[in-house]
Amino acid sequence: VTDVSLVFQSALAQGAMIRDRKTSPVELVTMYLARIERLDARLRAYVTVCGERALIAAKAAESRAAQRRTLGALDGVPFAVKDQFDTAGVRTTQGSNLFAARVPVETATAVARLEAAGAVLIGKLNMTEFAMGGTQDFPFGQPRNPWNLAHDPGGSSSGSGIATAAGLAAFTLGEDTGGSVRSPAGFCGVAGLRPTWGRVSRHGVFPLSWSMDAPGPLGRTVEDVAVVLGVVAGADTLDPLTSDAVVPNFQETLTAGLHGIRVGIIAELTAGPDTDLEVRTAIEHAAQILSTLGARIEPTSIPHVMMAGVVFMALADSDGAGLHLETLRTRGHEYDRGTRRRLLAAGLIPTALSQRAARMRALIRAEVKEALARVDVLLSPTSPAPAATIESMRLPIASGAAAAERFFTRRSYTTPASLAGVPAISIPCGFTATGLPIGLHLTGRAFDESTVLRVAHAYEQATDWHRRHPPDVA
Amino acid sequence: VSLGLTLDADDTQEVTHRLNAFLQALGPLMSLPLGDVEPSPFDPQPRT
Repeated sequence: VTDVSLVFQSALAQGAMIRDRKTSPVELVTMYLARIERLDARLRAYVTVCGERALIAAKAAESRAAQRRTLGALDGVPFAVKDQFDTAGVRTTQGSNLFAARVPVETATAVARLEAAGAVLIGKLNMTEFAMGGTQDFPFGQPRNPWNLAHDPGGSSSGSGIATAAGLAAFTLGEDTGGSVRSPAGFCGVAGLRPTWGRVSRHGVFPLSWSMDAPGPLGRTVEDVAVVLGVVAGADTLDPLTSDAVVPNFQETLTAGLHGIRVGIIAELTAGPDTDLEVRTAIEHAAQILSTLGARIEPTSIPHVMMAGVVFMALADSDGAGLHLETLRTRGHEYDRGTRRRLLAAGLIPTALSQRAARMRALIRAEVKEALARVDVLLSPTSPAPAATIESMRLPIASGAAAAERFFTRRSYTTPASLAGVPAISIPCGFTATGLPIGLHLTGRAFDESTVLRVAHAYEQATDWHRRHPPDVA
Repeated sequence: VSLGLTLDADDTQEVTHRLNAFLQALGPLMSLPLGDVEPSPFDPQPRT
């Protein structure tokens, strides 16, 4: 096994190799640190690399492996987390100059659970400022799509998508409010799950919108995502809004097959005028594959789905404006201009419209639930188009129509799940003619991540998209 | 000026475009029959 093939192995395969003494945690950490050193000046996935800390943890894992006392499937496996998760003693910036020197004293519950399972934290990952999207000048370097450095990697968990795709960690954690795990997963060609709202503790995760924030895993395989979810999910006394619903063994049901599974293909998102032809073709081909695997494909409509993007932004941005109000007053000039302008605009939305947006959210949630009463999962593209160029995202906004096109339309593809509080995953389902990944989006019922993961795994096993790695870094 | 926030000249144009985008996109909601929809943000959580 060469260095390159080892770093691109799944997290579970790496864990098995550690237990079989075919590799060691120290060897793996050393390989990832070397790759970060070699590649990250271009990719900018990492804000902070904690190599020394990681090597200490890796040595402890190595000692457990030698004594055949490993802590489980992820013991000794190197991972990294979005810089939105607090890590005791390790700088946590939220992607902002405002927090550039902040070192928390506590660790976020999700990260603490992974470390308790033996996984080795190697660093903190780049993100759009305060997980809001639209950052113009990244304080810790411009994150770039590993499939084409001129393109956006997606956000807000930008570094989580890059590091997973480019072999700079075995798996990562992100946080998804309106698509912040699924968008970088889709644009970077990896698997990324938004769990049911309340499935994973938000303790130690800087908030954006309290009723939609959902930490979730990214991995190079659906099985990795399932196993990581199993570790981080479950009740937490430190976050009273975390559900105490039983956490099933997500890995166990992955191979149950698709016989009897009903998949609803969302007409408005797949065949609507906003979806690129290449994307539509890839999604329809994926539906055919699911059909050959035994699923029943049914056309489905969510009538108000194209309102989801603006409704989400009106609600989440208003939450953000409230959260940042005092800091905006006193240190507004220290925000990135994209974040500051987004927060300022949200603070000016008339109350009557915000209230209507809240009602529309409930209507969209009812439509999603109604659709999921007829089928087991909903299928659609993660994004209407592949990753845009970074240059295009930095163009000045010249009109209200331009703002709507840039911000609302594409968000209507991921935010229905956010507004409804249900789980959704993005997995790779093809590439454009120019070599950019296309994401397949599967949405399921609340607390039924198992079915979402089962369908995603069946598709993944029938295709080879997840085995492809960015050419410049592989 | 709103909520004690100041808007400097550099930000004004983009903030205006962003706000107009919200007003134009959310405006149609005023004519939809949403009066009976409870604006609850989420469903009750399953509790054991």
